[in-house]
Amino acid sequence: MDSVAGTRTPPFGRAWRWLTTLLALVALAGGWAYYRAFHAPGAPIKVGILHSLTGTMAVSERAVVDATLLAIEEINARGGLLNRRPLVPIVADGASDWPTFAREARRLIQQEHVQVVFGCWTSASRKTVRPVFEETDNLLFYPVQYEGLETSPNIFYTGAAPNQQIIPAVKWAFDKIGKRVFLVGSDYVFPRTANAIIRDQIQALRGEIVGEEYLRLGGREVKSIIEKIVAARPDVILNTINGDSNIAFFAALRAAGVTAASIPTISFSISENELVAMDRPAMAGDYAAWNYFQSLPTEENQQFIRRFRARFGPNRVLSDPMEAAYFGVNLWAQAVQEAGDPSPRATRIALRDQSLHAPEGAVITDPDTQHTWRNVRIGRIRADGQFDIVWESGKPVRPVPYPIYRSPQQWSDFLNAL
Amino acid sequence: MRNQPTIGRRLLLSFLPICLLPLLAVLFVVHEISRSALEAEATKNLVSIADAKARRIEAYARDRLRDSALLAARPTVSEAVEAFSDAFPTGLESPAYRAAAGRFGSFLSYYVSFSQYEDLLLVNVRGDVVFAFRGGEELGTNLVSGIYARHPLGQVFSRASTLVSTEMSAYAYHPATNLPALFIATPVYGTGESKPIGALVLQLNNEGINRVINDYAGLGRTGEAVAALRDEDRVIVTTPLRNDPYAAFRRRLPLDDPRAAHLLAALNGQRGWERGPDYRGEPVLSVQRYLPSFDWGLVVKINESELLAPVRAQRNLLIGIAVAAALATALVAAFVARGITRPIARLADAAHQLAGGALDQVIPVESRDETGTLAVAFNSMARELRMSHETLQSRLEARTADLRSANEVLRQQNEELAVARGRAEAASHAKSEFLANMSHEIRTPMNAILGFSELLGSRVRQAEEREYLEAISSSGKALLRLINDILDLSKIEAGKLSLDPAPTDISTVLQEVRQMFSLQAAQKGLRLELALAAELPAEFVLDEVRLRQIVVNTVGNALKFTDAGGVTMRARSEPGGAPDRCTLVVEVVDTGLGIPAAEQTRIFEAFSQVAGQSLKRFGGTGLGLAITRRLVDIMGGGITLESEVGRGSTFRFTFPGVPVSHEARPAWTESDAAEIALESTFAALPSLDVLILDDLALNRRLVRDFLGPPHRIREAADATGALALLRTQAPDLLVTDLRLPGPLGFDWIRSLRAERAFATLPIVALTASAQEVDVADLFTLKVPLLRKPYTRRELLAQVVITVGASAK
Repeated sequence: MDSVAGTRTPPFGRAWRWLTTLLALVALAGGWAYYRAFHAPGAPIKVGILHSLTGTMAVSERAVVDATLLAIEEINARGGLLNRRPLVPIVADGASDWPTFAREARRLIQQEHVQVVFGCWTSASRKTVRPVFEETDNLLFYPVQYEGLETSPNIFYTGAAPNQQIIPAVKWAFDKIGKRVFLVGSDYVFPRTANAIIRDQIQALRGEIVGEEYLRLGGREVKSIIEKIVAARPDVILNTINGDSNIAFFAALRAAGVTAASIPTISFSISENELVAMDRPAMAGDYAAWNYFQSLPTEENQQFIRRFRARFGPNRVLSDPMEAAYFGVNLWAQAVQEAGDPSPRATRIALRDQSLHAPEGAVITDPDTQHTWRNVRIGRIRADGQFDIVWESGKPVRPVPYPIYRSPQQWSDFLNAL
Repeated sequence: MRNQPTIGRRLLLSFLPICLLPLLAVLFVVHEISRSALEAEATKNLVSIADAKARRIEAYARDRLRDSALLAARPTVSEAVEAFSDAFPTGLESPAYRAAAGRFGSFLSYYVSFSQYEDLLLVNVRGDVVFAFRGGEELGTNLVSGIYARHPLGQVFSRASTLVSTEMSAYAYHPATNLPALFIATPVYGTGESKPIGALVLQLNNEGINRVINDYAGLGRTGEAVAALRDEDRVIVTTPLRNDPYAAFRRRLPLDDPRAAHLLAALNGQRGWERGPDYRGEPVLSVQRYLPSFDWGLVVKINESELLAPVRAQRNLLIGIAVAAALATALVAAFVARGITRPIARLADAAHQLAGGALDQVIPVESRDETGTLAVAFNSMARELRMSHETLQSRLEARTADLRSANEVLRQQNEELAVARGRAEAASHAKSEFLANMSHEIRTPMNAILGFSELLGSRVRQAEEREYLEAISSSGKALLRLINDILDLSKIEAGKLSLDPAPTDISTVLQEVRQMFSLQAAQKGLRLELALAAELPAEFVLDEVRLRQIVVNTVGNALKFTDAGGVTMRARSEPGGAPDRCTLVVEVVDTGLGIPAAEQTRIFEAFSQVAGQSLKRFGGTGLGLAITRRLVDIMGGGITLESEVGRGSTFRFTFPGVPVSHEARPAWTESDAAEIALESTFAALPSLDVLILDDLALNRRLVRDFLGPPHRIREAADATGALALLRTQAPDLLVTDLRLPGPLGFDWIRSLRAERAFATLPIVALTASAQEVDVADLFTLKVPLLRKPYTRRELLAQVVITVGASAK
């Protein structure tokens, strides 16, 4: 009887069963579509990171890699870009060797098919990869202050141009310290160009350059330079030495009795990151010119520091190139989002006048030069390796890669003559 | 059921969600998609407008910077700075200064007016303003140490000089023009020198920027662009607003004011769009851009109300569609439900009416679906029902007709029976009538026979003649008894016998019977005894005449069949269930032949005697016991017979529940002495003049002869003759027959008494009728009645009483 009763299910009931099954299927399909549309990760977007993980530049550049990775990870944590497409970083090692940079850049672009590369520190490495990016029409975000005198449609410069670091620092030194200047630098393109610009400015300001000396990149043969400084007794030393040569330089300088109080030094390549490896109490009182210092008191910066330390360790310090690398990734991501397309061609147009609120304040890409408007700051080194900010521009400064008192052609000729 | 169509409601409940849920889902999704598309489109539009404005403003700034740099690099400008610088110490009115002004004036004028600059200043290396195109108050002041040192003008000059670059000041109110002004300073190098010899300063008004800001193309009714700068703890609007043309540098908001949030975001370099309050607090969609050249934030915004107007319109439309769909669904559901329930309801109605007996239900079949099938099935069912009902009906009608015809037959039979009964009754009546007439007709001659035999008896002396006369007389008497018995029986059987209960002394009745039969018993040598119970009540209320008749019949019968021994009458009473009622038991015991058991039931039937006993031997009509039994029945009593052949019989009469009285009344007894006295009394009467009225001459002769001489007898054959004689002769006595030609005797006597002359006339009525005569009425008329045949003694006694009474 039970089986009979079972087969006598009213037709209405059977229709209901069909209906509910159908509804369940529809709901499943709708849910799947909704998930696909709003939650499923999309195709990954590959981005390249090209820095020296080995060699003399590794100390500086590995920290920049970390900052770059932090930005990428934060973007992925927010859901990626363009319908939840995650960013996949491909890290390549430039090995402090410029041909390697060029080779790795080509590999990233042509084999890994990255849409953008965040990388390079030295101008030498940048100048070797630039033709690769221009040939492949890819994009390079370059996070380090440099000598300027360069623009490329394939490079966005988030580091400072000379007028955003060197020139204001020279003016500040003239105003606050004195007009007798001693120039030291590593013997390569950035220090030589920077010093050329400084020379022009000091001439215009009717100052005096009492010495100009160069040290082999990575070299420690500082003795003769120190002797010349001591002999010249300048009001201020403008230092464009790069890498760990600075350790030897300052050790010898202090050994020679030159202190920050007697002859202060303004360095253009020593940041918090470099100070970690140096005799910080001995450095205290000297100056550095940057756009960003870790000691910036803004809320945005404090959060940035917290996030970075949470990711890479509580004792890590942040520096200007790291911050520039960090906001460079975010500028690019914002441009991708606005362009709706991660390809270099589309992103570059959207990058023309991007801006964002970086830890240092507002930063803006300049459409003419593809450099970045940034605040300019001068800091005095503290014994703990951090900086007291003694001067700042108060607003982002327009990047001028080619100082106006020579035409771009004249600057080009100058560079070629080096 | 029609008001609450549960099927309809279920359909509605099913239809609405099935139709509305997907519809609402689709509408919601469509609305959301189009809303987000609209918002995205509006945002995109706003973003592109903001981008365009920001780019135009930035391009404007860059163009001015480039203008300035290019102008400063012109040798003419270098020469001008040198010339004015050289002439400046000599005074502005000096020929050297005038010469410089004359030499460079037209060039600078051309440039300023062509490029729409507000002013153009040339500053020497020390900061002295050595030339001012407009010749304002700036001219001659020192920008490093003068009143403009802290002013953007002085600061921009200082920056340009020390940074060796083209520098642009912020917009600020310029005291000289009382208008917002911006200054662009560029170092000017001397011809062939590597050091600056001064600076070129261009003053710019804000018209160029305002043109861009106040271009509302693509911004609808409420859209606008707002630029603002940050000054310490305030945000200051720097451009005219759409609804406030004088807002520039006047409208300020605190940094922590939510209305400043979007401006602040723009000032922080944040790009993007957001919803929130604008500077007035109105909800807007705003796009923020940073203008780095001026360190301004640019916000392009549009009121949400305008932006969302199409969304709202669309939402209203969709709501309307949803409502319309709901209504349409409800209508369709109601229609479908009605389509389903109406045939069902009609079916239910029809079923109800069918149940109520209206079998001619036909439902219109409107569809071929299930309800249609149901209707067809119902119709065929109703048809079957109707047909079977009709069959049943016709059978019922047939049966009814049968019954009716049977009833008719019965009725006819009843009628026939009634007729027959009427006939039978009539016949019975006729028989009774006949018997009555017969008895009357017989009594009349019997009256003559017996009367004349009696008269003859006193005259015949010869023994042989006397024997013949005795035979005539006894035969006449036997005949008369037979006639009376027949008459009684016929009366009883005709139901005409009525009882006349009255207090009766049983002992008196029985003594009279014994006296009556004492002579007969003595002639046969039999004892006739009477045995009365001591406690017998004085009187029983019953019909004395009939009781006497019963006893007489039985005793007569017992004497007839008893040859030796005797007959004993007994009477006793038994308690009768109530204090004043008794059961009367009367027994007649004889020592006669006895009655065989087989005959005992038959002897109470009419005309029957015990077999072998011939009428010839015992005489009698054979009606005595039959009449006795019927009388006992009428009186409510019972009769039992105990008899043994050769030993005798006992007849026992039992009358239960007879009312009794224990008071004795003085008994009236007719003594022999009185009888003997009658003759002498009659003889003592004087000669009477007697009128005899009878239609029969023989009857008149019998009365004449009974009375005899000395009484004068006149005769009349009818009432007319009698009346004539009454009036003429005035007789002393009228003896009249009640059956007269003409008027009935009774009525005639009544009319006679009504006359004064005859009011006291002694009248004796005679009748031969066996029918009841109203003796009481005759008594009130003081007329005694004699029934024929009467004896001479009876007639004499009435005459004595009647005449004697009137005589006294």
